[in-house]
Amino acid sequence: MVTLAMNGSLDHWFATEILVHEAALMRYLRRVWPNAADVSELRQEAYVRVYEGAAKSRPGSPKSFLFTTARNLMVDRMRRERIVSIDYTQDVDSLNVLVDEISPEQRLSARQELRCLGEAFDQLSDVVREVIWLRRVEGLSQREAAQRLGIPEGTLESHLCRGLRSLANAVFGNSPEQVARGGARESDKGTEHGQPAD
Amino acid sequence: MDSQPIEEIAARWVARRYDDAWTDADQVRLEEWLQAATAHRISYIRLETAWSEAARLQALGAGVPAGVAPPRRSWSTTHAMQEVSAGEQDDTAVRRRFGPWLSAAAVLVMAVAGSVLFLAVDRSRGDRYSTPVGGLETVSLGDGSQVTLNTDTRIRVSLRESERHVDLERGEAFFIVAKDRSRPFVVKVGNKSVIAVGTQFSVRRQSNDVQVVVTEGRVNLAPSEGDASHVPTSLDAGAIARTLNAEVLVSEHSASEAVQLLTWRSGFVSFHDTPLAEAVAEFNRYNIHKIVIADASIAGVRIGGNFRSNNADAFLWLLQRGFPIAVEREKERTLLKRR
Repeated sequence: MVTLAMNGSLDHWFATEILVHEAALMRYLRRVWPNAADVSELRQEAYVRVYEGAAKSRPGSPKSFLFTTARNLMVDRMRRERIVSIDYTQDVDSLNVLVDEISPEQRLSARQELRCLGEAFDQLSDVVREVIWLRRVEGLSQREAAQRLGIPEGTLESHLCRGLRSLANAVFGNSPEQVARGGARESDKGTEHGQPAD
Repeated sequence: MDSQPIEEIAARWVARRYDDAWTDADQVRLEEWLQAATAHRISYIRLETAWSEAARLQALGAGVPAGVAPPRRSWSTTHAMQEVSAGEQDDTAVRRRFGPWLSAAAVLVMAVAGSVLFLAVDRSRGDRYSTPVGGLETVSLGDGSQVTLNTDTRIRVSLRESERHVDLERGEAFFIVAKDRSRPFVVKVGNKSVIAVGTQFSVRRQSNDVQVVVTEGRVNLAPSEGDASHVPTSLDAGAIARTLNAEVLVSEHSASEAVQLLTWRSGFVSFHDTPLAEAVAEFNRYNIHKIVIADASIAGVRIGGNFRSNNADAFLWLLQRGFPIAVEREKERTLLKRR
């Protein structure tokens, strides 16, 4: 009865134990890393390391493992790319303590999650909204949906992909609105916008 | 490593993976792509999970006509999912509690291939039709009437000169009855009969009790055969009747509301403020792989929304994400526990 193509318990583990922390991870990366443009790449690389690590041995505490991995990744990059001052590298050790502080459990209620999803859906363009609706909710095929909307299938697929990527950010608590809220809440811890504390 | 192009490709895989045109050869190519780099797999898992989650939009669009996306901001007024603690269930809503167990749905992915309709050769006792768990089938009868069989349903049809006769041996069926005043259309459920001339209605059997939803015309429900003290109950369009032994409980709805309760015909289960225990029982009607509530304290969590009945996985995934519920998959069954 598996409807997802995801096979194997590792993929399922990754979805349920790691991806659920994406919002917290993104806040952490944004806060610590000086260049906001790198954050998506860092996230991706942390995910890859976590997945490959878990393939060898499943960690007991997935969340700690994720944050520790992200921290080590940033340390590696700081050293390799020499993008930070000596003062800042000394501060690297402070990254150790952040896991629980920076990511208190703040599971959204089902209603809030649904609202986030609905808001993200509303922010899509008209045609992308229609495409998502027809394909995902009404269950039309690509061809049927393309005919219904009078657009080529290739165009429809591009719209669908764009919408899906936007919704993914909403699903994982990563939308700009939530980022803003998360940032405001944590800005009193001595760092802001990724700049080191004095 | 640049994740943007990878994510773009992963999105295209997801779009195609969930399209009708998907082939075994595509599956092989997808597996190859996933194997090629962990970064591919990560992006794919993430977007596929989002795709799964996006099914929740369905719950937000309740009541919206099919074919177009609902207008923006229509979410804010929708109550889609709500949690109420177990102790707060009340009995005031007898009527609304009809909803979930009426509006069953059908077609589990694994059952599609196996949803064979059996037509027995023993004509003397009538034609027999049945569906397996997860099945959903519509058959045309010799008189022009149509029957839609829900999951795990068995009927026997005999078209006699004086009467068109259907035995509902188990399960649930929806009837569109061709008009023929000379031959009433009788659905027998145990010792109860539902009698129609030309109309549309569904009948669900639970043990010897019956629940009838009328969407067009009028039917008579005879609760107890051969008992002179029980006159037939007349049910008009919009009526929902449920028997308990010889008693009949009828609630009146608009015809369009009654139709909403028959979403199983298009493969949906619908819940409105439904206790988890009832929602799980509904999904289990369509599944061989059963869901079991292993902790009584979560049985009363209230669920709302429409779910494609071939997507129990999505239902479980949403439970896990939206509620303090842990999902434990075992080989034979899936356990729900408080987290």
